[in-house]
Amino acid sequence: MSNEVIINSVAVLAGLGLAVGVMLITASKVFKVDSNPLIDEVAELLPGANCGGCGFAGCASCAEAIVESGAAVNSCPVGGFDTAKAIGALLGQEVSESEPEYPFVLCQGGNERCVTLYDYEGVEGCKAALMLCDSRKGCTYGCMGLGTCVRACQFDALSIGENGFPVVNKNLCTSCGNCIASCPNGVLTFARESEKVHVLCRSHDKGKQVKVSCEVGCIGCKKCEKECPSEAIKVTNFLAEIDQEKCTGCGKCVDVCPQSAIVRAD
Amino acid sequence: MSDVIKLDKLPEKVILPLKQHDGIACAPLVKKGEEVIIGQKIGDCEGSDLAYVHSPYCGTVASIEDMPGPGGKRVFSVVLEPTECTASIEFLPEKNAPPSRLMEIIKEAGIVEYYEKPTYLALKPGARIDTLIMNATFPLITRAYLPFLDKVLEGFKLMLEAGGISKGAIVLRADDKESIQAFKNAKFDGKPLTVAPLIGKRHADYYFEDADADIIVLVAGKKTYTPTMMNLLASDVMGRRIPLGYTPSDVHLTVCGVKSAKAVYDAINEGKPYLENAVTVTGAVNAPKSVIVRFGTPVKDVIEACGGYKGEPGKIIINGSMGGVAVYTDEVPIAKNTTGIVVQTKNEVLRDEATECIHCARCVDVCPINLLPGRIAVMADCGMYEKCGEYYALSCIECGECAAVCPAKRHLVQLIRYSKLQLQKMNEAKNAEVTE
Repeated sequence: MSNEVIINSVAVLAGLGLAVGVMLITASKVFKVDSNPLIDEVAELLPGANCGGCGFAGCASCAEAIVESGAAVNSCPVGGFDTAKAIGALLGQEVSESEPEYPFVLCQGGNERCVTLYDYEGVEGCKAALMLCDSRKGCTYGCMGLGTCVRACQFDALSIGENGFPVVNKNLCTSCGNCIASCPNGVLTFARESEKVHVLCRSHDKGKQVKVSCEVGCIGCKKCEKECPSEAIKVTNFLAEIDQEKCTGCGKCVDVCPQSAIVRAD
Repeated sequence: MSDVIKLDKLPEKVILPLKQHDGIACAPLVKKGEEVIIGQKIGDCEGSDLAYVHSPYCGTVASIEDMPGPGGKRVFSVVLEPTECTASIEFLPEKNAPPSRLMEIIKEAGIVEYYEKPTYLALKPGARIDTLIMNATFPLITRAYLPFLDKVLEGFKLMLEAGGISKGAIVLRADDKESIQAFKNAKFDGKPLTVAPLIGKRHADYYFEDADADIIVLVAGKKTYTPTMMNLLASDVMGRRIPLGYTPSDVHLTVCGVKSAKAVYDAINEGKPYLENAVTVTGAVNAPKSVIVRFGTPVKDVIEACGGYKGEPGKIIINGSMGGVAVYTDEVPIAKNTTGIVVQTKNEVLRDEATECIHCARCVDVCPINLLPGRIAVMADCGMYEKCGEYYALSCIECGECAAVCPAKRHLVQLIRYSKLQLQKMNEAKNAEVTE
């Protein structure tokens, strides 16, 4: 009696397993979705951080875009040249090495050189502070140092330094651009290592106002514009801007700037 | 009332923001160095959401530039150097004007409600309006206007006439005995006003029928309905529930303030544009009181008129300690939407750092509209704004109760306000996509 029960149940279970197995196999054969195997291979090569630095939803969709809709093989800023080269080899495309770009802080006001109007106590973050009132700095264009960019960075490459503005750790930075997109004042920008001379100011205020609020702000005096031998500097709306394609890095503007707003990057 | 004074002393400089309402900023009509006289229009704008700016002082234009405004942000302003002269434009009263003309006068006078909307838009929002509610639940402001009670009532009637609104309800606070008494004694059109309490389910409509009058006075609970609490006011007084995302005008109601009623009276019966209002000064000043002050007067002069600071000032908050904004200088001007100034001493200012939420749920207990402030704030902090929307962040009235009781000192209101801002931006982006 008891043997019969055991044999019966084992037989039923085995039969069920067989039937379901056959069903699953047929289903996977009949309803098979054709996917490009290349997509998976490319996705394997990508870093898998899903940071969104490429502009796509994640690494999988980036891989899909590279294979199917012809996005550039070096779309992934995190992987850098090595990844691009590997993907290029897979897809049969040549990749030339491009110079890496890093986020760069276009302000040198900080705690000491720029006037602080009031103490801010509230939600950490420049955007949340700007919602309530003006920048706590005398200059409305400069870095507020409340760290929205630090929180936007997924790679811990940014930190608020001693002077009160973000410092980029180039070893950790992957140039994904999240910090640049997060800054409400547009103080951060991409810069190449070969770009030697920079105007470290964003203020469009008139000279008099800049003098009151900041020791190192651009006052729009146009001395640099006159001095530049290659006509690379233009002062528009009280702010000097350097055309990096024309700039030869001679550094004459650095010497004439009365506010030390133009700086040679080392 | 002894503790209401009119500020007559001339300030050193007058700052007139060219945007004192919720809408389009005005363009200056004057140039640097030009002389202006009292009542002269100095800011003009075009469009649908406008409030003209008039000069309440006589003087010379010193500059036109960005100045710190009472809302915490820099506003494009006309800076005047006032002089003793009392020359003014000719004030032309227009009594017995037809409703359409009344509306034009109100628009021309640049009158703005306490919740930053121009009065002419508040009275005719585009939908059918059957009741106008006057929010007189700011006890100090209401008391400051008691000496002009007949003018306020007359102005209220003119507002009803201009907007073509049939009924008007004036709402008072239950513990504001002085104002209640004054309204009880007041006579309107030769008849005493009906003053009735709001009890249980007896809403305004019951009393309109009972008293057979167009204007009645209602005594609501011990609550001050701040600008963000409009929907609550409308549903408390009229018993009409307003669904999330709708405004009082969707249930045929509109709200006005005591100040604008007086301003409408002045505009129509005396021909004066909106030049001054009452501001209450409380906290660490030597003689707290209500001051009737002309727009553009710096806060510094108003505080001086109240006996100056008591001790070292730590914080100056415009428009109330719960929902207001702290300003970093006392040189910000009084604008059309300024109702109060609170001064705190250095010792009174809390300087605790925010710590992690301990999940005590005290914020949930105090929230007057039954939200989960702690939960919404955490999600706002993580950038999960859509989730905040699902937890009804948009219906937060920003009363500040949650942040006041939070033992972890979390900046709950700011975080919720931030999530509201982001949600509004997301909605706008969505709408723009749909229209494209």
